[in-house]
Amino acid sequence: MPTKEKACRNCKRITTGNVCDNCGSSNLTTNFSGLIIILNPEESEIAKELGMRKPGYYAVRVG
Amino acid sequence: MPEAGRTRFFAVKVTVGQERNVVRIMEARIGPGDKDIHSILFLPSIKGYIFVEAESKERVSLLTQGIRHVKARPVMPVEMKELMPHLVERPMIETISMGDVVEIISGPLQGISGKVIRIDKPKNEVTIEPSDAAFPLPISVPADQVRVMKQSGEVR
Repeated sequence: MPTKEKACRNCKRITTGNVCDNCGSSNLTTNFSGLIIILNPEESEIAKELGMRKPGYYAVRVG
Repeated sequence: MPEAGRTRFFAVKVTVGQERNVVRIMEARIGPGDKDIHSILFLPSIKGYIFVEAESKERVSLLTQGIRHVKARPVMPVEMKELMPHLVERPMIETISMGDVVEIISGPLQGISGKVIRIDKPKNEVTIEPSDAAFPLPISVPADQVRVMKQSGEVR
């Protein structure tokens, strides 16, 4: 894997940069598990339930 | 809640440990115009399964067809309410109630089991009374160090 993936502790979004591209927080961790790929946030029940408004990768559990 | 019966979740059996790879392959197969697959997920607490939120079972079968590590068995519809407890993490202390029989799973007192007699939420501590002690001996341990063995009849 070329770049290390990190999950945001605030919104659980997975990013490869040093800041979260969803909430702008730099509170990231490599210690996360599970994966949710939101493809269609308008229709997805999971996205609605968990408050994910943007399509993308999210972690299930963030350490 | 959206109209019932339209969007559903389907469980796909995959090789344990290959969930992430399969999810990535599935994502790569979905084009930008495919609006009938809403999300794909795998849960750390359920190994060997991937859940796809889609509008039809056939769409999920088509998506997983021919992917290595996907087991050749029909996809199973799953209810949203069955997945939610695995998605939303509840702190350990929330899952323990008075009278539960718990076991200490780490620390110097590992292996001792007993009944919960007090729960201190702000301190994240539970006090237990060991079941094999000859006299009452309350022990306070962090809630993360116990595992519920038997739940009391109380409704949480």
